[in-house]
Amino acid sequence: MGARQYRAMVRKDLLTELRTRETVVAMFLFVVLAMVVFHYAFTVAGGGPLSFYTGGMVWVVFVFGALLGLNRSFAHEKDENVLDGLLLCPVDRVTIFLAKMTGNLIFLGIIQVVALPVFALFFAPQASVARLPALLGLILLADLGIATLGTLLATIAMQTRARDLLLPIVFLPLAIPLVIAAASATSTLLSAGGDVSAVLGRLAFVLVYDGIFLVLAYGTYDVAIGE
Amino acid sequence: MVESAATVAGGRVSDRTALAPATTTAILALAGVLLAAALAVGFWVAPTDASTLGFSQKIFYFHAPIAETALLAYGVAFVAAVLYLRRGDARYDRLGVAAVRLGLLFSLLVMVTGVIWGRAAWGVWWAWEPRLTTFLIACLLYSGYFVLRGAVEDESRRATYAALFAVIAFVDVPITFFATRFLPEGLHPVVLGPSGSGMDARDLLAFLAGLAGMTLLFVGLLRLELGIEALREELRELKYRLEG
Amino acid sequence: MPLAEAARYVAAAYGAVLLVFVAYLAVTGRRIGRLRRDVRALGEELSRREPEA
Repeated sequence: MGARQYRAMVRKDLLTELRTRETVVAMFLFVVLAMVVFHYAFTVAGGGPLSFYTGGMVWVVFVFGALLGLNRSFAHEKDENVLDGLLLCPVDRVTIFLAKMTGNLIFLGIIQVVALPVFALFFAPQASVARLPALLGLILLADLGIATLGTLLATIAMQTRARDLLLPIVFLPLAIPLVIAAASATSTLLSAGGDVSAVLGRLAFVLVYDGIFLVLAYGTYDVAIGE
Repeated sequence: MVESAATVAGGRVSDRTALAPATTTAILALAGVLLAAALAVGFWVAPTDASTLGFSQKIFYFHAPIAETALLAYGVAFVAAVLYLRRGDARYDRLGVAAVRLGLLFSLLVMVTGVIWGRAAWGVWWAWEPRLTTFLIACLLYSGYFVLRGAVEDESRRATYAALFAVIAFVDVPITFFATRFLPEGLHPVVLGPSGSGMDARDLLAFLAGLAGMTLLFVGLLRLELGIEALREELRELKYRLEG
Repeated sequence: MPLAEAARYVAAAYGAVLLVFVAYLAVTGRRIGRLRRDVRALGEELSRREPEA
């Protein structure tokens, strides 16, 4: 029963978005524009390789893009008072969380699927395809963390007066460890050589970090969404 | 420092005896003594550091205890938050606010002493090394606690969201604590490693005295803050009775 | 680093700590004093009105 409600909610969010495509288009444009800005902002004297910074650039862009998406995912609910109606239904709060989190994860994923090849093309032409599975795994795990943490905090932030101003303030400090791990691992994977064993360590950290916030979300979402 | 309200208003106002002022003063006095002792041992008894840090190492006797106390404060905020979420007693919310405020105060001091120490030891005012960076993040994070509170009008919702945030934010504390141990930054000396303290016994003594002193100082300041909250409660109650 | 220079930095660090705590205690003390005065004033006002009630 919970699974059916979950699927229904995810489908609802996706359909709503597909009809207007506002959020996804905005996130995508933001990501591409950011890449262009980075190209000019980080012009290295002598034309040296930017690969050292690639991981960082990628994740800065993804995190801020995610913030855009997170803000929008609840703004609609709040404006149309959909949230109150949803809470009246006998749905397990955790199901709501999982549905919202999945929606955010999918949006983020869509952006990344398009943005990452472009990014690699612009900034990491020497990356080897052999590393792709590892990179995809890393991105998936990091996305999970961003989506979990972001959905949990967005739920709280959206119900305050400050709304989208508050979310970056509470989200970014907690996202920093995630970004550090993901960025350094991505840099290593996108570069020519690199110590792959260190990447495994980063992956493990991201996994643990995800787990912690998933547990926290599970434990506190009832209260966060306002019962 | 704070008198029982009963004596002031002839017994009509509820007897809300605030935290006993004599105890608070005693705690603060003891803290002062311990901190002075830490300095005495550190400067007169302990030897000057033989490593590249040299005399600047002496900043450590307060810098490290302040850091530990800041994290302790956030821990207290975490416990208060959990208790508030389970029991809904507004006193836990007030405890949480006081703890976070003091945590930020101590964190700020970690940054200040850390920056000065960094300038003395490494020649630069800022370095992206574990302790400075993680405490900067903690400062930013817990500042968000007050931004969050400011954005909610309803009192009970404010307390609930603040408590939620204090619980979530606490994830950062273990990371901050272990950052100097696990991140191989090289610059920052690891104090208490797995093989026991690598410190001279006299340095250790000064450090422990400093730690005890700072902890007591935190407890004393916390009691002061809670006493203020109790006074504010009394004031609200009196105003209510006067108007009602 | 020569001892004198290092000592200046050490003094600056401890001075900053002392300054912050003293300032904090001073501000807190003033807040408490003001609150106590207000509580006392309102309490007296209340007990003055009680006979009339």
